[in-house]
Amino acid sequence: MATVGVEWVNDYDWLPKLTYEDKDAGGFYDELVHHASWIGVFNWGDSNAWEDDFKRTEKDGHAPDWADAVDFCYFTGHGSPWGFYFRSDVPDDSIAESDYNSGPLNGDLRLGRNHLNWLALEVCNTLQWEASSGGTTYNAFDRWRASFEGLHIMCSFTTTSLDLDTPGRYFAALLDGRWPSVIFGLPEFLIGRIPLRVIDAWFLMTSITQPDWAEAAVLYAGKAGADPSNDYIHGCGSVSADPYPHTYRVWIPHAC
Amino acid sequence: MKEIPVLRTYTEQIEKNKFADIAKHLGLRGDLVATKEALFMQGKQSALVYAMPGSRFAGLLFFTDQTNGVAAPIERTPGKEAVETWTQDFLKRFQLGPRESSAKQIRVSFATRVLRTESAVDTDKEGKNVKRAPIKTDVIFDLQVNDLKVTGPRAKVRLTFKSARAPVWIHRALWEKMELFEARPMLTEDEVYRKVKDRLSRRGETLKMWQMIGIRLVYFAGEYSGGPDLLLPYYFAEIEYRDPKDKERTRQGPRQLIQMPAWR
Repeated sequence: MATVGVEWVNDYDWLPKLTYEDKDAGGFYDELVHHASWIGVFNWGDSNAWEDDFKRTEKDGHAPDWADAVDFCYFTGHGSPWGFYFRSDVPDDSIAESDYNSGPLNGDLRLGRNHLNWLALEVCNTLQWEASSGGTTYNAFDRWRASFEGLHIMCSFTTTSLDLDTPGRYFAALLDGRWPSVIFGLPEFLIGRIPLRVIDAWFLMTSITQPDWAEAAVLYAGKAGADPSNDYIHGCGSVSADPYPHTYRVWIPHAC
Repeated sequence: MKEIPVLRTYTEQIEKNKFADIAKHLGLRGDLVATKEALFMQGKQSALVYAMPGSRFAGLLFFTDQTNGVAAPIERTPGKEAVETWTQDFLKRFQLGPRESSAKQIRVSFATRVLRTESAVDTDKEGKNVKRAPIKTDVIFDLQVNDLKVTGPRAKVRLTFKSARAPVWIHRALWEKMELFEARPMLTEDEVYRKVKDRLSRRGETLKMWQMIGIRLVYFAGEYSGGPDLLLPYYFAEIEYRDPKDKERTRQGPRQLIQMPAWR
C-alpha cells in the first residue's frame, strides 16, 4: 500500500504566522487517504512539525523514520532558496537547509534512501533558479542535487506564492484523478477518474490557484532506465525505478 | 479620497452544442456529461470541462491532453506565430476571447505574449555542464480593466503547446459581461504599508525584521463563493524577512506574498 505524510506550520515563533497551511496539507492527506486508499502515516503541524523529520542520519536526523518512510511527503509553510522553515523550538533547528547554506555539502536532505519518491514543498522560492550567498551564485542543482538519493521529483515554486487552503487538495485530486469532482463538482459515478502525471498535476494545480506572476518549478533526477518525468502516483499509473545513482537532473519552470 | 470601482461579472452559460463543437475541434470523441455545475467530455487521452455559472470555477474552460507528459522533451518549442494563430482562430471561432464592456466606466484591454519554456539539464556533479532542452510554448493573455491588471484562477488565459498542431492544456477563464457594481474608497500604498507593519510587528521587537520588496494593485478573480460575482481590487505585497542567522545579510531570506483588500 502506498503511504503519505504531511507537515505544515502556521504558528511560527520567529517568522510571521500563516493561516491556511493546516487545511492545505490536510487536504492533500485526506484526499489520498480517504479517496485513493493510501495509508496516512503522519500529519504533523506547528510544534509537532520537526525539521528533524527531514534531516539525514549523518546529521543526527530521523528522515528514514518520517519523511523518507513514506512514498509522498508534502510540506507547507515558509521557504526560501536555502530551505524550508519550522518553528525555532522544535528538534533539531528551524530550517531544513539546502547545500551551500551552511556549507557546500552540509544540506539536510538526502532522500529516497528508504522510501520517498515524491516531495512537494508548497512554499515560496525553494526552487528559485539562482540565489547568491557571500557573493557566489548557486543554482537549483547546486543547492538540491545531492538531496536526490532515490527521490524521484521535488515540486515547489521559484517565486512567492499565496497562502491558500486549496493547493494540497487540488493537487492530490489531480494526482488520483478525482479532479472533475473535487475541482468542478461533477459526480464521480458519471465521470470516473482521470489521473494525471505528478509533474502535470503540480503545474496545473498552480495555475488553478495562484496569480499569473507566480512561477512553479519541478526538479527531478534520472538515469538510463529510470526517468521519473512520466511518473504517476502509485495505483494511478506507471512509476519509474528509483533514479539512483542519478546521471542527470532536470529543472523545469512553469508560469502559473 | 480616491475611489476604486468594484466590478460585477457574469459568466457564460455555454450551450451543449457549442461545448460539443469545442470538444470536436480539440479532437475529443465521447459522451457529453452535463450537470448544473459543469459540462464534461472525455476522450481517449484527453478531457474537456467547462465550469458553469454559479460553480466554484465559473467561466473556466479546462482542457488537458495526457498523451505525453508536459515534461517530455521535444525537438523544438513550437513557434510564436503558429501558436498565436491557433489560439486566435480557436478563441474567435468559439467566441471565447476577452470581451469589451458596454459600460462607459469600464475599459477592458488585453495583450497576448508567447513564452517559450526550456528546462535546464544538469549532466555532471560539478554543475558545469548545464544544457537547455525545449519543453513547451505558452500563449498567455495579459488582461487589464481600467489599466489595472486582472489575474487569478478565474481571470486567466493560458494555452500550452508541445507542438504547433494543438495545445495540450487550456486554462481559459473569463467573464461574459462586466458591469460597475459600486465605487469604494481606495487605500493608498502607504496605508497598506502601515497595515502590513501592524500585522507583522511583534510585541517588544525593536529591530524591524522585514522589508517590503514590492507591491502591486490588481483585480483578483478567485473562486466564486456565492452572492454577486464580484471582481475586487487587492494589493499584493511581497515581504522579505531577515534570517537571524545571516548577520551580514548576504543572502535572500524567506519571502511572503500578502494579499490585502484595496478598499476601505
